[in-house]
Amino acid sequence: MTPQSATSRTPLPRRSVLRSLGTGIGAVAIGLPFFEEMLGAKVASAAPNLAAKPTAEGGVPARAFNVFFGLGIPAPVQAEATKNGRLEGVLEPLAPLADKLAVLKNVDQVRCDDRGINAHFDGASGAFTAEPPDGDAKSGGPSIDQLIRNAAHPGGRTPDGVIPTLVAGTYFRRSRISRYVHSYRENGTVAAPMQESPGELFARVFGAQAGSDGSGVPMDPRRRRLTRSVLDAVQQQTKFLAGPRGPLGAASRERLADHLDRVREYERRTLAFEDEKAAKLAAGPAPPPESKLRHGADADPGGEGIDITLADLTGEWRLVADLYSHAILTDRVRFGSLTYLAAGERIRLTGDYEYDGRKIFTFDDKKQHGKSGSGGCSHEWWHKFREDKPNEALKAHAHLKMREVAYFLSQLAGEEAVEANGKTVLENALVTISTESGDGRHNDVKRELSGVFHAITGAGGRFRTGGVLDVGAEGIDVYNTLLAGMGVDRRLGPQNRQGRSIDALRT
Amino acid sequence: MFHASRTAFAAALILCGCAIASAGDSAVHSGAERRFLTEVAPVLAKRCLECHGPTSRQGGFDLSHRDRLAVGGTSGVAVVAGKANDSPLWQYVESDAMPPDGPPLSKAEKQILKRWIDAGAAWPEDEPWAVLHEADAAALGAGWVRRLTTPEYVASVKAALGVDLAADAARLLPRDLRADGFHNTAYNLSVDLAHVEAYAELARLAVQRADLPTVLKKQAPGKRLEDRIAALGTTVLRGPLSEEETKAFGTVADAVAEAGGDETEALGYVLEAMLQSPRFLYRLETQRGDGGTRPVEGYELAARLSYSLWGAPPDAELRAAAQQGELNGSPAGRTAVAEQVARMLDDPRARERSARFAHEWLNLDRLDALSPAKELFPDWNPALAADMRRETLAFFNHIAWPQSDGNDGGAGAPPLTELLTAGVAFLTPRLAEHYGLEWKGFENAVLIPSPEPAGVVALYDFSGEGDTVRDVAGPLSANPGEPLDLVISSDSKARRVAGGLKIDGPSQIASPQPAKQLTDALKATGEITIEAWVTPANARQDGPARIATLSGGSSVRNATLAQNGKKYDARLRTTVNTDRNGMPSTNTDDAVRDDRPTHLVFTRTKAGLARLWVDGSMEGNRNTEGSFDNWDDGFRFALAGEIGDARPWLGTLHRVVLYDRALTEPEVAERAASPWRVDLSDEPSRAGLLTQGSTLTVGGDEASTVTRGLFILRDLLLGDVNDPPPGVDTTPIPAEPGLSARAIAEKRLADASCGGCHVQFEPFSFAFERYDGLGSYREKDHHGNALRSEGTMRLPGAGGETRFESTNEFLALIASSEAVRRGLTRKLTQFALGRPLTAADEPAVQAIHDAGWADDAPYGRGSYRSLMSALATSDLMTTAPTEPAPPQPASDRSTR
Repeated sequence: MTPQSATSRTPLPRRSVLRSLGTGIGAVAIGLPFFEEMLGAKVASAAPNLAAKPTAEGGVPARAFNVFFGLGIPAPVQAEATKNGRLEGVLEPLAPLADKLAVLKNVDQVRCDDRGINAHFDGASGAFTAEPPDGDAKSGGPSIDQLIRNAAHPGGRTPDGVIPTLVAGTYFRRSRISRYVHSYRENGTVAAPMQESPGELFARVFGAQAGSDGSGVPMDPRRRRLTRSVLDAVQQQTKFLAGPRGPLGAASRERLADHLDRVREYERRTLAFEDEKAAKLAAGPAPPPESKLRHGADADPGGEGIDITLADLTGEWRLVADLYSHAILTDRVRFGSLTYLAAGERIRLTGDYEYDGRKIFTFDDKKQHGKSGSGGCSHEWWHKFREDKPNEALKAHAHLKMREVAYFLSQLAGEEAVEANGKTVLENALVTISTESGDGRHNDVKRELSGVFHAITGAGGRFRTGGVLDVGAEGIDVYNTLLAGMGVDRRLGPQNRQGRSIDALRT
Repeated sequence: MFHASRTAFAAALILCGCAIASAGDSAVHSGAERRFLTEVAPVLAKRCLECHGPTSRQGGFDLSHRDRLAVGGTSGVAVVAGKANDSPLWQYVESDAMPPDGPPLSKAEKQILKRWIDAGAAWPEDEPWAVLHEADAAALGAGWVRRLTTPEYVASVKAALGVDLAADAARLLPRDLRADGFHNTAYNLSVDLAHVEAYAELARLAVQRADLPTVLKKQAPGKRLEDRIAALGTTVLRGPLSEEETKAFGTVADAVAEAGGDETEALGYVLEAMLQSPRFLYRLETQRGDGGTRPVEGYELAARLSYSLWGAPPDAELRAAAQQGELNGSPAGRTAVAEQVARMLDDPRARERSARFAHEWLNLDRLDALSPAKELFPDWNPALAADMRRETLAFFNHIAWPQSDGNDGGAGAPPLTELLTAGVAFLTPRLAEHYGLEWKGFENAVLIPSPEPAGVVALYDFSGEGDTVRDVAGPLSANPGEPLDLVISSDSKARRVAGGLKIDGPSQIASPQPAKQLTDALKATGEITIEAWVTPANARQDGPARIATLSGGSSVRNATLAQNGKKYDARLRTTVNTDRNGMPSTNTDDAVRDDRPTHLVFTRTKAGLARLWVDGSMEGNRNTEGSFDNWDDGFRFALAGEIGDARPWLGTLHRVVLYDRALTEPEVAERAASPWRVDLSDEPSRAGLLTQGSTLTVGGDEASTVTRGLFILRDLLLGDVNDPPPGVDTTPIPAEPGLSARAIAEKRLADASCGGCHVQFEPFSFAFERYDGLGSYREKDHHGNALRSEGTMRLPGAGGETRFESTNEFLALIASSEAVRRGLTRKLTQFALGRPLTAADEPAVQAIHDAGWADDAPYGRGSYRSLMSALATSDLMTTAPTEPAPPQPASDRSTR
């Protein structure tokens, strides 16, 4: 496969403009700088068996993304929303994409239960790994996106210009790291640090510092030459340390190899393509406006939650979703995860929620719970879930989550996402969608981790889409079936485990 | 989880007695004992202990201790040493009857238990409690190269180049995230593009700001460029360079030469490369070997010691010892290491490192984001969170480094268990008020000021004796010269007290000569700060009553800070729009408190902005035009009254500082938050860490008894519990009138499905029921429910229940427990190693524990120094596991 034939799309214009939904909900426009990746010709081939089928126009690379949303949809609510074989109720926002998705019912993640407080942590850690956690910031095994990455690209090394793994999200509680990061390496460590604000995400993807040495002043040619010499020396040393002749053990070599990749990436961004970019950068890339929402530790005031409006939450999320999807469409990223709310979702949401021209609900968690602090947060609706009650607020929150997940997915399904094989990126990629728990009541771990919502895309026709599948299987079997379908040899879980292929998933 | 049908195992245990082989008296573990620690204990912990632990004791059987295993269940032994097939424990495990719920033991786990019993069921005499509770951590152990944390990086750059990049690093580097209790957990210290970008920029800044000629003269001696690079590398990269490395850095120098640069510039670029080198950014050690353990010596050991004890790279002395081969495992080498450790523990960096430990152990970053509900806590002041953090750090320093603030009393350092009981606190007046403590009882309170920022021209701390108030600015002084000492006149009503100088009546405390040097310094900058910690005698004195004045009498002055009834007042003479008396003045609204000390600051910038700050808050301001050019350099400086004995001020002066510049708002806030050391030995409601806001806030706004109890269990006692069992609704139940949180908790404990686990931790929180979610003391909650402080608890590792009647009694009980001692040893060890401990570490951890808590420990039993000394000379520091070379070279990504 030549680089040209691997290019699957018409390159995007030099300066694209992202615009979050023009509905008045926090609409923000971002001018994107030009980057070499936007030329679209840097795409190196993936392992052939993992790429979508080649066509006369070319092929498409292997891609895998984990999309995570906080808390989840109780299994009975899922059942109610799929009882007619269509996506209704809380799943209504996914209906326009139904032909590109398979919604999986009865996925059991009980094996992810581990010693801890409750299934928030276990379920979140097990999403996309199907194994219990192994430390605050360490999963019990790799996530499926990373196994696909490793299979598609020897050693996990993606082509130059493609970020190996992109992890981003909008969420407002920190707690343990594996509650909100959803890409993990073979050794269980995070595959990439979380980019948790639009500014961070923009900088990670599009590199705010390109063309300068960080001082804000473009480097003069002499300084650039000498900086290249410095980086060459650093790379040479790192290369030795990361290599088999170096003094380090396996885990350390892998870390140093990562470091080397980042140095190379930094060099490319800072020094390479300088001539091409210099003039264009003079216009100045326009990063997204500084987020007015809380991030980092401020977003998690002792677990007591924060007040947030629907407009602010939606505006921020859509900016992140726009940036992330744009990174995919410009082939800046092929693997990673995106998180929309997580770790118990400690927010007190306010605002009128409308969908498709009709009012769904007025959020006012604090007032509706009649409590302040953590007791007034939206996650309490999950604790209060009762099958024989209307659960109106919970369903409205779940509906909102599905609307926002659908927003992201739809960015990969539009006209500009059509690839050389005539299908959209959403259809060609494997997008797995999951969440923390299948229930909200911490009174039965089995119930809480059973029936965890899952949905997948077709991955270039490998998996059935267009319906609701009652898989009735362990998450680990579902994930391993996906890996098999993607042509990945590696399997999750104990190596001597007798797995079960979920044939209903396969085309 | 083993809850539903565990009665079968319990019944089996009841039927049996137990005969366990003695482990002998030797402190050195036999091979069988080591196997127990590394193989058997993890299986017991993972699969058995939930139901048969020291507090759960299903069937009366406790598997957490050798002696209790020997006792067996209520009907006899479960293990017959040497005969697995006759041992009910094995029979039930082998048949998968145990555990009754959840997956059966794997074949490997079963074989471990069978081999153990058949071999005599050896169990070390010392209790492997910690192993039993951290067995799952094996995968988190050694093998991960350690990237420097941000504080370590900053310290390393400072040591190499003398440049402080703390602020830049905080701005540019991604934050290190906390995992498994600390921010330095190696497996979690990954690297992203943002790190590499930041390292490049920080290297550029460091070289740009360094005094390069001086640095190179010291760090890179020699005539040949290669020699200079090699010398530089040995210092900056913490060990000699290989020939290849020297060549690689040489190419950087060559490139500079080619570009027309000189040798200094060339070495500057070499330094940039070194600061981005993995050898600088990571703590690299040889990890390859035969799969066994190897000794750590020389430069590697030097780096281990320095980063463990200082959080900083080796200094010249340590490097020299490494270079001379003194740091090794020989008897002489051990002596040399011990001497280095003793020296290093005397260094201020050791104190800084211990503060970092306390900060991370207790997760004090959490306080930055504290945001309590306004409805519940309308009076919350965010500055209190910073006060709480300072309180805990100062308190930790007081216990860990008694000599630093006179706490040793000549009796050596106290054990760290005094962290739980010491009747001393470090409070700001506002924090004391928040806690509900009356300051009037703290007559002997001593101010512990944060370090003075730049610009000091005179400083009075009122130490010493006699009639002279010494200006102790000394080396701090921005205006070196004669100190501006003041003389207390013989008819003054002033006396020295523990916290300063108490003025009971009109007094003359003034410089005997004109304060010309001071006046000139202030005239030169056109700026001034007068800072004073004061406790006014009353809120009536006026005149205004002069607190500090640079003047010529009651109606002519350069500058004066004063009290006018309930307000504070500052007069400043300038060349424009003020009279000789400095009028109009800058003043506050009612701000005078006579019931506690106040931090009072007057600042004036060159641009003319004059401001009065009270306890860090700006309470008055005025735009003052002009300069100080019209100041009279014949005026004297006086405290507590005007020159000429008029306008007396009564009260206590605790500390007075003059600066030749205007302190900034953050500087004023920082200074205002300086704590006071307060004796609480007669205060029943406060003693030690667990009665400080920094730990009391872990329970959230509602002071969750569950969260507080779990914090004590997990972070102090290193115990653990499992998930809530099925069938129980764990949705928090709020307190309400007639139903306190304690009453709710007691119902939970009485519930068969909850109590089994909750009894292991929730009663710990009962001792703190009278502290609300933000640490204030009350005897009724906001629903009017009466609150209690007595209870009954079960300590991990101890059999049975223990009653406590008060908070202090509870604190004394746990402070005397082995569980707390072990918890402290293990936390310190984990932080020093930068990784969670594993079962394989246990023998070495035990040795550290034994040495650190020995009655004859060199720096006091259980003291910070003793424990760190034991740790620094332990096997965990002086040996390292190795990995055998893989059968085939691993995929070498670097060669692509």
